[in-house]
Amino acid sequence: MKNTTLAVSIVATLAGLGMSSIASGAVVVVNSQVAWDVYVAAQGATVATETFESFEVGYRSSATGTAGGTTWTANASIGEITFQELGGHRIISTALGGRTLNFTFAPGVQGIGGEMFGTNASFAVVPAEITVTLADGTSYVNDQTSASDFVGFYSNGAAIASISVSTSTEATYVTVDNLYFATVPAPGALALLSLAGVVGGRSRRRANSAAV
Amino acid sequence: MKNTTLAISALVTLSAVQGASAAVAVFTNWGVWNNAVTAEGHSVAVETFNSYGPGTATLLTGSPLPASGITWTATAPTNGLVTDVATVRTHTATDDLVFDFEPGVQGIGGNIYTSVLGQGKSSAFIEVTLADGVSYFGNSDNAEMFIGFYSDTASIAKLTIKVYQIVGVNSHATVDNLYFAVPAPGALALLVTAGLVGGRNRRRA
Repeated sequence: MKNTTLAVSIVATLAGLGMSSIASGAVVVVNSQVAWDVYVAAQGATVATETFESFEVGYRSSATGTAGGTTWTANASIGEITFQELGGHRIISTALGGRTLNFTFAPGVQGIGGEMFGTNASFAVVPAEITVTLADGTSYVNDQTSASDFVGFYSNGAAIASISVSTSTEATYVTVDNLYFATVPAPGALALLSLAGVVGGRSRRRANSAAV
Repeated sequence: MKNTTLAISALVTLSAVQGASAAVAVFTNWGVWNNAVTAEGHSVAVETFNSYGPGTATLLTGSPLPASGITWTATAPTNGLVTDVATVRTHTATDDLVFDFEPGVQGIGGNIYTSVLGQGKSSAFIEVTLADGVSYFGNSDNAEMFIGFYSDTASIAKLTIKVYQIVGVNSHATVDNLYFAVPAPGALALLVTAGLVGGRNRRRA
């Protein structure tokens, strides 16, 4: 919540400087949630969050959920995936070490981010080199050391339909805490939202008038 | 001809053994970038900017060490550059800092951040973009901060650093060191040998 407030404040400052829209290239890689929030807000995107809290602890071959208008599906390159508790958060992880955790999105999203890191067999966070790769081959590689280490992407072109989270270490289990989906409302949807706002506002005004 | 094919085949095999990778990979840790480019058969040449004294310039050019045949050129389109304390930065805060590389490189990285004249590092957001559009966007207030790229497809010929001011301070795009992934001496020797053998075969033919 604190980060969101900061991001909104920064976007307001950018807008004040005439930089309401950050122009950029095909795929942007971001490793801080505040920066990602700033970036997606400047693109006019809205963010929906999947916390995984609604998934019971346990193992399964795959999982599917919905956040905002995005349906995601997760599986592992080999073996099962698992939902576990870590620091009061529900996390998703591979059941086998050294495997890749794959997510697909329908429909594709303009931006995707999340806390992505490594855990050991006891579900404790361990420093690990984590690679997050998009379907177009763009990737981010880093030594992730904590459960708050963020990785995000934003595409100004084709929507992002999948990500793969992998590690080079057999003893590491790739783990994701939250997933953040950035989508840009279609022009028609924006118009509908505006119309809904106008109608809603008018209705409220009418109701207030009636009350007076 | 057969020997040339063998040499090229050896290079391809070397690359395949050392691991397939994405089109463009982005890094924010020098050690991880260094390991990745080394694993792909490159060595690293460095431009420290230590040989540039305090001053201004419309354009700067140089070559990283050890010498590898690569030349970099730095420009800032509006008002030129400032060199100071082994760094290069834009003269005007709103300017982009642009680096061109000749020939292009497979990997490039650097300590890239924003600074305010006389006050060192400053708070802002920066976007570092390659010619193909892949970019990094993030906070820029750490002079030790590293941003790097590795391309296993097209070589990287340009790097553009753009600053987004978030407070009323005029933050300048600033670079301390630049790291270049260049062909390792062994690979260079192999290429030279392949060239020699190929040339000899062509002459025989």
